[in-house]
Amino acid sequence: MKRPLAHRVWLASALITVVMAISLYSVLGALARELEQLRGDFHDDAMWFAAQFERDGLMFNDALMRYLAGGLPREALDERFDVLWSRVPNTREGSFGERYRALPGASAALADTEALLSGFEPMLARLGPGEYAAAAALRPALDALLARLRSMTLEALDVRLHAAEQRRANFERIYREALLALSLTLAAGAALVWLLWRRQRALDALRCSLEVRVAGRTAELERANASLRLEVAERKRALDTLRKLWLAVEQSPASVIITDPQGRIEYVNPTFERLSGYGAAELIGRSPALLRSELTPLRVYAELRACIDAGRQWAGELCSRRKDGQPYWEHARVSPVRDERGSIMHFVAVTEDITQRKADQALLYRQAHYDALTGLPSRKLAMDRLAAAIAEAGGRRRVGLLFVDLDNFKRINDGFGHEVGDALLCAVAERLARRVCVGDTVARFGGDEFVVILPARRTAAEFDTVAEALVRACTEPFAIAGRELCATTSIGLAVYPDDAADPARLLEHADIAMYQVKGRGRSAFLRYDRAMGEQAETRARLEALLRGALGRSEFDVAFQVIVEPASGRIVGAEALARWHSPELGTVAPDRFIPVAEEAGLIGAIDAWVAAAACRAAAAWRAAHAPALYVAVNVSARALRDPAYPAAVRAALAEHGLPGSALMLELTERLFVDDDAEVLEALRRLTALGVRLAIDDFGTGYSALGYLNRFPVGALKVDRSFVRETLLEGEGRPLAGAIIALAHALGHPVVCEGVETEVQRARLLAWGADYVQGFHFGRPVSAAALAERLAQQACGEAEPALALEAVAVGNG
Amino acid sequence: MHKSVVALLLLLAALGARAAELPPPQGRVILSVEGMIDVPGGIARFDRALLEALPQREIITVTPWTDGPARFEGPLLREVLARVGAQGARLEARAINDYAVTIPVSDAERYDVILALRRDGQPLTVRSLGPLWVIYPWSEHPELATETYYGRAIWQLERIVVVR
Repeated sequence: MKRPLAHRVWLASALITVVMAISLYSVLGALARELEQLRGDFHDDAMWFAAQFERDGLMFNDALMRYLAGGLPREALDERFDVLWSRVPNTREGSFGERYRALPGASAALADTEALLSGFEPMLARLGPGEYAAAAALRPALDALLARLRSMTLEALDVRLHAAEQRRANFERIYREALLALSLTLAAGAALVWLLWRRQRALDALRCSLEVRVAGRTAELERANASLRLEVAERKRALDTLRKLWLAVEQSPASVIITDPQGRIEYVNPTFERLSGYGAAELIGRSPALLRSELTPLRVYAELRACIDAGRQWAGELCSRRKDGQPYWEHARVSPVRDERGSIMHFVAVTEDITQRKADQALLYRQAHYDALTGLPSRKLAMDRLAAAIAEAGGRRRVGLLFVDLDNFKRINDGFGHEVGDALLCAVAERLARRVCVGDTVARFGGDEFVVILPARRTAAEFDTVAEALVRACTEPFAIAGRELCATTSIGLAVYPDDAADPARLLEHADIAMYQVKGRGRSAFLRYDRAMGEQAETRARLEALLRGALGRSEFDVAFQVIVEPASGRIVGAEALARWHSPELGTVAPDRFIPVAEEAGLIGAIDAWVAAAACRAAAAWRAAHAPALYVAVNVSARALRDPAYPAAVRAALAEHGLPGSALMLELTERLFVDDDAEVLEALRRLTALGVRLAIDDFGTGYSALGYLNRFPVGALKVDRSFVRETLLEGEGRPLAGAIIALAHALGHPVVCEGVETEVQRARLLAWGADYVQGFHFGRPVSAAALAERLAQQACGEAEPALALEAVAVGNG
Repeated sequence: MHKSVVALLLLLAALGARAAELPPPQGRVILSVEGMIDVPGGIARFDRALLEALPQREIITVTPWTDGPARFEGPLLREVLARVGAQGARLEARAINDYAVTIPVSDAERYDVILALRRDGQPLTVRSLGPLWVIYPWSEHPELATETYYGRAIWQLERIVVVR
């Protein structure tokens, strides 16, 4: 549509340009011609030549007239003639003369002039001034010459006029042409401008419309783009979400199975593939029933079916089977997936492998409920079962509880090592378990304690039978690690509902009964009775009171002298703890010491006694008896308390006493148990210089090796041997033998419980080094003893004076 | 006016350095120089011999008045002017037929303008546009080929008046 216009415009422009160029060039050409003409004017001035020629002719004529009249010298006339003559060759030669020569008749004129001048010359030479007649002969020729020159001048003038006219015409033509060219140029320029302006307008309009269209289209595109971007962003978000979900499902540590509404598998994630051992391809299109195992109770599957059929979620545990047949437990959560209208599209099952968790739970359960060593039920399970049995019995039936404790287990364990001890426990467990019926429970209660629960018996007598059988079962030695070990049992029996109404009390009563067996010599059983309960209660009360007795300053110490049998001189004193309880009165050491030992109070009590003894000894030694020593009883349990040796050291240091001022009285048993802690404590104490005295020497164990390992200051012969010295017969040599043995071992002997002069005399005779007993004095306070020591120091008092009547027995 | 100028020139001639004594012409006088010159009597007259005694110059040139190149010989105009102690800037040259032109003295100084005495070896006569013809070296200096310089080439020269 726009092309023809463009064509027309360019064509017109080209045409106009050509026309303009042509007209301008034509004007230029005319001007150039005119310039050429002007140049020629100078060269070709025929008029000038003609005029000069004529002038020189007239001047000659004038000169001739003046010569004739006598007014001019001859040479001047000749000179004028020569000048006129020179015009001829001058005109004939050179470029300037050409125009003249071109005048019509010029060559004829020149030839005539030359001829005339040649003719003149001889006549003129002869002519003298005043010879007018001769001159008249020249006149016609001269006039003809002048006329000829005149006509040439006119001719030249004519030519010049003609040329001028022609030039004017020419110039006018050029002017017209130039005017026309200029007009044409202007018109063409205007046309061109107009064309260009039109074209520009067309272009502007086109550009405008294009811009409008482009703007419209751009806006449209931007709108489309924006909506597209929105859609893309939305899709990207949706895709991202989908991708996230997909990745989450794919990489989920839980198994994911998706089925169609008919239960055919559509998808399983890699976790499920790993768990089940099936590849996705093997499962897709099939039913999850493929994975079932008979280990899942059938009702679970039924429940699952019912749940999802009702469109509800189901969660529970299933045991499935891997491809290789291995069963595994999973916790599954099966949910329906609904579309917007609520119809079920899929089911999704998210399952978690709980095989390990189940195994762990089972292990934990076992660890909590069974004893790791013997495999028997633990204390916890035993209590649960006891509670269950009692609940089941419900008062109509009886439940028996046996509390079984191994005799001597500690000694075996300490003596032969834990491995032997453990093996023994296992063997005992096996024997016990073998002697009970199905439904009965043998449980390890801890350490060397077992309990046996015998539920659902009609009579109490049935329990006795079982208990007796169990006691008997353990009387046979056990063959452990190539040894024959004796580990009898002490059994306490308590019966529900006769002896207690709840499991805890039943257990407590069985325990009390067992302790009774221990007290009565072991390897037997006893059924709980009320008396046992009371005794245990008393003991418990004692313990409760004993706790805090030190804090309430209910203890004091009495001292019983140790003397030389011959002189009665006091060499030492045994400190004896006394408990003055506001509730119970004065309690004897043999009653409260065992309770204190079991309650863990003995360390503090023994330390307190040692401190009190040191204080007293320091006072005595300072006042009257510098060499006197004080003996304190110390129990094995106190020695196990690390604070005890430190307390002794502190006490000695406080009173400035040497170690030798203190003697610790121990039982032989303490060495036999070979307790490392105890031996270490003894080493530390003897290192202070403290000596040891072996109490009750000769009553029990005969491991005499220990005597060489520690600085033993004295062996104390038990009062039972001393008592026998009064009898005639076998007692006498026994005490004597013990003293002899002690001497043989190189240790001095202290005989306790000397109550009569006869005993003193006999013991003296048998060689006893020191004696102690009511015969020499009852235990007294530190102050009282100080007084006696003062008397002894004063006048070596008669020992007999000090002997008072026998009072209460000492410890 | 004219008389006072002459008087002034005489005074100058009396006071200033005078040119070498100009010998009196022996033959026919062909050129007289007047005006602002330094010669006794205020007019210098030259015969052919005097002019030929001055330094000469030969110019071979094409002219609009001759056919083909022509050889001209004669004294340098500036030598003539020097010989008469010319002081002016212009020369009023006059021909036998009273034709006259004005020639700037600078032409003589810038170009070897001669007063030709001979053409192609022949002494110039009145009939051959002599005896003196002012010739410019046109062929040596193309810029001289204009109306102005052609106009100054006066022939049949008779008299020079040196003016300011």
